[in-house]
Parts: sequence; structure tokens; C-alpha cells
Amino acid sequence: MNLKPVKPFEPVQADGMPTGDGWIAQVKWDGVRMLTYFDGTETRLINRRLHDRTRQYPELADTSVWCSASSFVLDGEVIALRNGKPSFYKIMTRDNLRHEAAIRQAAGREPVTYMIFDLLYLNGEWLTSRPLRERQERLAEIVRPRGNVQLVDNVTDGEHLLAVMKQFGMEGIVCKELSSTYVPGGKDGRWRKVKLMRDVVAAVGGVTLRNGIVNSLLLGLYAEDGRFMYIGHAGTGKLGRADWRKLTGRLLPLALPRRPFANEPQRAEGAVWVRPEIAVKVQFLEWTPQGTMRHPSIQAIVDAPAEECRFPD
Amino acid sequence: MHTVWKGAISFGLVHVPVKLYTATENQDISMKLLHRQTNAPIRYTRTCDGCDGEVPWEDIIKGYEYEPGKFVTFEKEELQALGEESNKEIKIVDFVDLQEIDPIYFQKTYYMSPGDTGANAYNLLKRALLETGKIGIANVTLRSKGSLAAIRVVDGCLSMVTMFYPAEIRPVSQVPNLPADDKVDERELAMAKTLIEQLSVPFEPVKFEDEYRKRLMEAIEAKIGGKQVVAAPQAPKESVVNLMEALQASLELARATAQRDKANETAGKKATKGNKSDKTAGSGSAAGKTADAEGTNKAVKSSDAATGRSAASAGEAGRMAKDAAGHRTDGADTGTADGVKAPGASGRRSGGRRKKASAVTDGTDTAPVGSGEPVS
Repeated sequence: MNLKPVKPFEPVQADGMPTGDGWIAQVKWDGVRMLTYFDGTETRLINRRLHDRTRQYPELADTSVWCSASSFVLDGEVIALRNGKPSFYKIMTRDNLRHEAAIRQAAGREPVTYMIFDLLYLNGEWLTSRPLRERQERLAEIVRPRGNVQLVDNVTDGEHLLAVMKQFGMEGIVCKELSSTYVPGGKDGRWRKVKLMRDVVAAVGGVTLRNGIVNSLLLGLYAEDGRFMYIGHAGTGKLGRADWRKLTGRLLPLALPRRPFANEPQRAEGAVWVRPEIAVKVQFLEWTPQGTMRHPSIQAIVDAPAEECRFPD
Repeated sequence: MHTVWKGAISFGLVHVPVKLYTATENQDISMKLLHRQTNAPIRYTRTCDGCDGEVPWEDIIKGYEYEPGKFVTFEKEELQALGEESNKEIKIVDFVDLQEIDPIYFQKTYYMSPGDTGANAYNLLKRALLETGKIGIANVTLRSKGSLAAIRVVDGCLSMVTMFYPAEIRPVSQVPNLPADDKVDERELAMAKTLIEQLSVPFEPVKFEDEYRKRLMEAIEAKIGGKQVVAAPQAPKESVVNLMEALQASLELARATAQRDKANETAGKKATKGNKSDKTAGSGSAAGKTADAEGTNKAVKSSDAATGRSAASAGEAGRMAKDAAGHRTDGADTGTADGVKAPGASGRRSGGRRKKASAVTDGTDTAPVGSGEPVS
């Protein structure tokens, strides 16, 4: 491919809505961030770790059906629906499929949806230094939404959108300044995510077992100084029985004689300690004063290196 | 790719932190064992010969059977401790030429990427190997099994191939009935050599594929195809379009409700009780229009697409808006019967006449709820 993959621009976490003109809000679609590159001959899907995921989503490969430009780079979120709503668990299950046959089956049976919200490159020219307003206009000119490829709508009243997100049990919204340029690999306050729930990718440092199967995880994050800190227990969440059985098989070989956490977990009796290698995404309501998660719920097992499980800023 | 191991290569004083990834993947099609009567998967349970009970993982240890029925046991930690010393290090002891190693030694290849802060050392070792044409021979312990390994460069990536120890390779002398080396017909030999020369080509691995796997895959797909015909009709596939329309309808409802509340406030001051509900309904639908007018270009475009998609979807959006209206009144909202109806009606209108409404940028005397930009 003749286009050099870039890391996507990230929003910062915000509690309140930005005020003033020149801001729009969009639904924060809960899925896998994905950039689509088309250099005129081949299409590549590349995620935010710059891993090529083209093979993983064959149903998105034929961009000519919905995009008319001769070359482009699009930014968006690949989502999977369950009961009519985006399910992070489901997209992770899909994202983790290894075998080509399984991928092809899944793509045919339940195609993923691509929610596009930005255009970084068009017909031989990078648009990253142009304002969002202009990028969006040109995006709307080249993409014809259809079935599982859609454009993310702009909304000017973020409060109402956030209320609707709450009503639908969805993740939250992203507020963007219409004048903002796109900074590859950057993260600043011109894009702000407002989430209804917090989430974090944490590493498993211990497990409890019931009948020989893991039934809860003791989770931790690495602090700035490199210490691995316990942040809470998490039970079932979105995982099913098969997931727990699989987790048991992956976690038990990592057993350690001593606890890997620098601090003392609550309710540590009966826990089996494991080397922090497996990461999960956990959703929770808020941090307690003790630095643990309130109401944590496991969303999915994710393919992330444990050392990247750090405290959010 | 999953990191399967983290550690460092060392040779002399050079220390290269690396992460390992498996370089090859088994493409065998795995099948599950099922119970013929139920088609449900077979599950394995670990039972104990001593007490006949099922044994949970935490009660399982390892034992070496030094004579039948007699074991010396090991806890996991003991075994780990034995491997610990060499656990995190790939120690290169010799450098040799690749051709010196017979392929029989090679087991499994791992790609290596530089560990944290290891990029310089990584590049140094890579360049040195490339320029000398040598490969490093090292000792390594992976998953508590020691093995010999060769460090080489594959396609610009440092790689490690695990190798058998010589003791693990059976001598050829154990193969039965090997013929003596002499006695071949010179003319037959010449013919065989000619044939080999004629069939000699550069190695092109891409032209080979697993024929059995291909046939099995075709058989599987044929069976799945057949099964779909007899299976009960599937639930309609989930579409994000339904969700987007429901969100849009709820958003308009939220705006209308906010607008109505605002109007109620004003109406409470200005108007008598009698015409209050009229005003409420009126401002409700007006707010619907305003809301549409607020979107930017792009939002309008996709609304166009929404109306174009199907006539039924408009009714759908209306229905969802109504559902949402019902949902709202369940809550703290103290809306009257009129109040419930009005947003529902505006939702239906916005579904069916969104395109038209979006062209109306003014025509309401109330300020837009958000500080939106008018459609250009």
C-alpha cells in the first residue's frame, strides 16, 4: 500500500459539555477504532495499534460500493450490534476470531457495521490540517451510507444527545470543535469524550475459582512508578460460561506463589495469584476513595499487552 | 499478535530486550467431539483414581512416576524455580553458518520485536547478523522446557527458531532395512539426474496449498449451506439504521420536551389555563422543525438518506418515538395526556417529512434549543 498508516486522533476524557459555538456532539459508538485506507488499488483496514485488520473484516473490504473517491483514508468505529445496540463484547469476540473460515462465516452471518466520522486523505491529498467542518463536508460528498456503512451524525445540543444515550444505555458522546485539525497520534481537548460509565483496560493479577473454573478476577493497573496496583474484583459481566472456561485455561498456567499486587487486595482469601499477562476491559461507575472500582463489570477479554494497563490520566 | 514470552538476548556484553511472537500458525480445521444423540459438545472432567471425585484445578499437582504407582511430586512453584534462572534470557553461546545446521534440528519459529527501550540494541544485533551472514546459537527456556535455539533474521525481523538437542534426534542407524550405499546403475542414475534438472525451479511456496484442508472446508461449507435451508427462518439481521432512527426520534423528543417545558413556563405567566394545552402541542411540533433545522449539512444529508431508505422506516421512527414518549412519562415527567401526544406526533412528522422540514430554517418564534447552525 502506498499510504503510510497513522495513529488516530484521540479525545480526552471530560466530565462536562464544552460550551460555546463551534462545537458539535456525536454518538460515541462503542467498538473498535479503525482507519480505512484506499490508495487507488487496494483497501486496508488498520487499527489504532497500527495492526492490519483487513483480513478480519472482509465485509468492509469492497469500499467501491459505498465510496466514490479515487483514494482516501477514513476514520471510524467498527461496531457489532446485539439486541439492537452496539456490543463491545460482541465486536471483541469477532475481532479475536483467528481462522479464516470462522471469519468468513461470521462476516456472512452477522456483518459488522462501520460508523465513519472523519476523512483524513482524499484523492491524493492529506486533509489532516483542514478544519473538521471541511473534512466532514467532503466526507459526506464521497460516502453513500448503506446498510452496514454509515456516517456519524452531528448534533448541536450535546446535553440532549447525552440524555438519549443514557436512555438507550449507550456509552456516551464525543464533542468536537468544528475548527479542529486532525493530529495523527495526538490527543487533546478539541475532541472530548463524555461517558456515562467509566472504563479501563486492566490486567488480571489473581483469580478466585469455583468448581475448578475461574469465577472472578482480581484486577490491577500499573502506576507511574511501575508498581502493580489492585483496583478491584470483577465477576461475571458480559462473559459467558465458555469464556470463563477458556480464561481458566489461559490463566492457571500463569499461577504465581506470591501476589503480584503492590497493595493488599480486599477479600484475598482463596485467591490464586497469576502473572499479569491477560487484559480485560472493565466498565465501572466510579472510583472509590480507596482507589478501587465501584460496580465493575467485565466487557471483554482484550488483546492488549499487560504493561499498557496503566491508570488513566 | 500475542506476546508469548518476554526477556532478553545476551551475547558478550550486549543485552537486547525482546518480545516473542509465534511466527507460524496451525491451520488445521479443528472439530469438536459431540455426543451423537444430542449433538452437544463432550466436556472433560478430571477425576481422581484415589477417591473417584472430580478434582478442581487448584488441587492438582504434578508427579513423576519413578516406578509403577510411585511418584515424587512437584508443586508448580518448585518447577518454576528450576526454570527461573534461564527463564528470562536467551544466551547466545556460538555463531555459526546457517548451512551448517541440518533442517532436522528446527522446531518452531518465533518473531522477535524489541522490548521496552531495546530498539537500538535490536537493530545492532540484526545488522551484525546480516552483515556477517551468521546465526546465533543459544540456550532458552520457554514454558518450562529448555531448548536449543537459533537466532537469525527473517525478512528484516529478528527471529528465533527453537531446535532439538542432539539427544532428542534419533540416529539413522535405528531405521530398519536401509540398503547398502553402493550398487546403482549408472545409466539409471544419469536419467534420474536429468529428470531432477528438468524439474528444478526456484522455491515458490505460494503455489502449494493444503488440498485436504481445502476439501474439508468445502465439505463444511456445503453442509452449512444445506443446513440453512432446513433451519427455521432467522430473526431479521440487526441493522444500525433502526437504532439511528430511534436515536434521532428520541433526540427530537428530548428537544421537543425541553421546548415544551420552556413554553409551559412562559405560558404559565402569560396565558390562561384554558389554552395552555394548545400552545404546548403547537410548540412541540414547532420544536421538531427547529430541531431538524439545527443539524449541519452532513446531518441533513444523512436524514435525506433516511427518508429515502424506506417508507416504512418513517412509521418505525414514529412508533419508537411513541415508545420513548411512554417511557418518559413513566419517569418523573408530569406531562398531561396532551403533553404525551404532542411529542409522539412530532416524532412521526419528523420521520415522514424530515426532508421537507429540514428546508425550513425559520418560521418559529422560539429560539432553537441548542445553539445550532442554520442549514446553508
